[in-house]
Amino acid sequence: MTPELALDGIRILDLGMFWAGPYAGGILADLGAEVIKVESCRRPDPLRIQARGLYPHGDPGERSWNRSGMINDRNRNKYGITLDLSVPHGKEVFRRLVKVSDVVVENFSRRVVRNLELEYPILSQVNPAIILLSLSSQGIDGPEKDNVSFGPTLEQIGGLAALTGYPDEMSSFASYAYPDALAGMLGAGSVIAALRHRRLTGKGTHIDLSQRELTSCIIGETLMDYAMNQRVHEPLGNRDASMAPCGCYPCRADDEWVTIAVGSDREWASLCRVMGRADLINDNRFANVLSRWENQDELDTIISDWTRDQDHYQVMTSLQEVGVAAGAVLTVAELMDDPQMKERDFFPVQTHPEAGAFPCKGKPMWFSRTPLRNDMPAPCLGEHNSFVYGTLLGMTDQEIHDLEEEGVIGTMPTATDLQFT
Amino acid sequence: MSEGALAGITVIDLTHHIAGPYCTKLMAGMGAEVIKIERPGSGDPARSMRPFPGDVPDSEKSGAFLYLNTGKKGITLDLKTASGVSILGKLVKDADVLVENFHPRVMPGLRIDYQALSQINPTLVMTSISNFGQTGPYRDYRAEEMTIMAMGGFMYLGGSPEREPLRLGFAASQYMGGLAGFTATMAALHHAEQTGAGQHVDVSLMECLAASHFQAIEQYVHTGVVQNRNRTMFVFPCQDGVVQLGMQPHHWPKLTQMLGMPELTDDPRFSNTMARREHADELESLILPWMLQHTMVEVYNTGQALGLPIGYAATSKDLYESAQYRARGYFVDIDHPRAGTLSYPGAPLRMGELPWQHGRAPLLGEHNEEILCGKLGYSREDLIRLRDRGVI
Repeated sequence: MTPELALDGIRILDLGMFWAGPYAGGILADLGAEVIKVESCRRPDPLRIQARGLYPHGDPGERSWNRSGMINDRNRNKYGITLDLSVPHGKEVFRRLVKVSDVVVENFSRRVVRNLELEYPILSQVNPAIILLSLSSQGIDGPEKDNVSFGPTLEQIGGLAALTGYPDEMSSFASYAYPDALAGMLGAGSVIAALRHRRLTGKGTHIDLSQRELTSCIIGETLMDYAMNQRVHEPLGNRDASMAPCGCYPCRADDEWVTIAVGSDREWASLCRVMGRADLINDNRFANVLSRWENQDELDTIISDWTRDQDHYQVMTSLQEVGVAAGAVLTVAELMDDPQMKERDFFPVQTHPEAGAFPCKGKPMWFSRTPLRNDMPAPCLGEHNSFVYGTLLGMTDQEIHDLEEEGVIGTMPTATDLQFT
Repeated sequence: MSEGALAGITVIDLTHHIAGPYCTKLMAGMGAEVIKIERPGSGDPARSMRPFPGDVPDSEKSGAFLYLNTGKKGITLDLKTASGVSILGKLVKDADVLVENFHPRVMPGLRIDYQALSQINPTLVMTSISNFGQTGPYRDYRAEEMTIMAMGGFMYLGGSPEREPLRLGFAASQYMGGLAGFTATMAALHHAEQTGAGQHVDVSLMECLAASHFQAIEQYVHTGVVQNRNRTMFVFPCQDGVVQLGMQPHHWPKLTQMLGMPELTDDPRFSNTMARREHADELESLILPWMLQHTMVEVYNTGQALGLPIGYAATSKDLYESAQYRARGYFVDIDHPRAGTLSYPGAPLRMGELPWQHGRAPLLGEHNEEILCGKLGYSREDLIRLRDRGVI
């Protein structure tokens, strides 16, 4: 018996590019919705072209645009079509798709939305029940709505970067593009909530999600300190406002580390015993919360001397056994090989017709009755044009052929040097 | 009944701290009735979390608690008593969703795990958010936010290659856990409302981070290269903070224009991305003087007007003063009987014409009478007895 899918029967047009939009579409696809990734040959998802060398074994192959690692990881379980929305015929076909779909997802700049005529009033006139999810940097209105941004700059203007840094250096923030991941995750859930609203009222809705605002939401408790006390937080490095020891300690191998955080006297005593330093438990310098806090430089040295002789997993397991929050700092290689990740089967394998078989990122949610699906590889460019235009829209072979001749649809990119913005 | 996409939905909220409460805060924002259950006496441990007005601790004035629990009703129940569990059972019977973020042993230990609760209400969606998930060798591990960042692979990528890895300065996994809990619950609820069948949802904070890597996983899978910490390019101090440029090749002439240094446009030292990386130190020394003469927001506005993707490291103060946030009405004033009126970060999105519900956080046990008497039919005398015996 095929397992039930949570979002069975929902059709979604995913115009997302890069990560935020495709991530939302990808979550909805894994949950069982019928998600159609819509690109154009003139401007496919830029990650097909600017793949940063992330091809299987680094080899772009004959049709590199179908072998991009980031594209294939992010777009599992989706159908793929091409459609040039910048020309009148393309816009007309798109409206026919909107008529038979439930949701449209986009994360374009507002300028592109205007050019492609994807604003909500236009789409809802075509289909009053349509749900439009707009994931933008700063929202659909306001003086900065047309500002351009990337993951790193969004992390800055949303407030994450100013909170992160070594205490003795200029704030430094690795580029995680975290706002994209946040927006994709919440975007997917908000679409499902909007579907409920539609079930009850018959009405569609426009979801306007500003990545910057969502980013500020996840530092809410820090912002409240400004609201209450006009306080601006400075980065603490790996230290904590009150817990000590709390830090990242070197282990035996080169560039191998473990984090340890001790919150209570009980945990302190446990740590001392595992280190073979029961003599420190009641040492005046470290016996209570305040003294540990004041003497943490010394404490960090003592702990480093101990961790330096071991590997990070060893430290983690020996301390976790006695209830101390220790965590090995895992590289991505170690993460994929980690016992917990393997037990949970977190990296589903995709078998892609042009890129082969490889593990992909899972989605962080498990369901007892409606498991996530993993039955379709990411689509090649325009792979499902016949299915969507022929079967879903009922076009004749001649009509589809004419669209190809006009260059409105196709399976090869025509742009070669894409700009991100 | 309130408006909102989740109007008519009842959520039983057993959460505490950040991850669980953020999940249910979103549901309250969309119009669900969220009944937060706290232990009598001390309540949610987040009530002890900073900040406090004037740094004076007060369990009804924690900024973290007030922010994370907007729009919820609050009752107290001691779930270690048979009476407490019985009352919970009555609430679950007519509820749609239950969310909890205890260590995985807790709910089975109290005999209120999914197996038990689904007997009472087969359509119930129960969402469990935990550090490592409900199963696996790390299931019972202890974790702070930093622990999850280390084990989720985020920390190895943060900071400088020449020293120890650096953690992110905010609760990244806990908030993502709240979002994942929200989205997963929506999916399960969607299914339950159409089929009558509930289920158990399991969210792991470690997996939340593992799923949120930008390219490290794909890079390792396809090329075997293990992403490591590297020096961030194009980050500059200015008069009052730090700015960052997201440079693509076609931005270079716009940058030289902004700096008033057109002669650099065709300078061979900086003619392409590789060359700019090679001569990074020289480039920085040329750009720095201009940057130091301007504030972050000046650089941001000037650069953006030219089409440069610039960001600035906004502090809390900068965010409260942001022109964009003011125009969008992002911050909202919420009044509270003990904490007074404060300006809170507002909704994470707008849903068409549906207003986001910005009600205040509940006082401890504030809605005991409304829920226990009004909803469940207990008498006032019952409440007194329950209180005497420490059940509520």
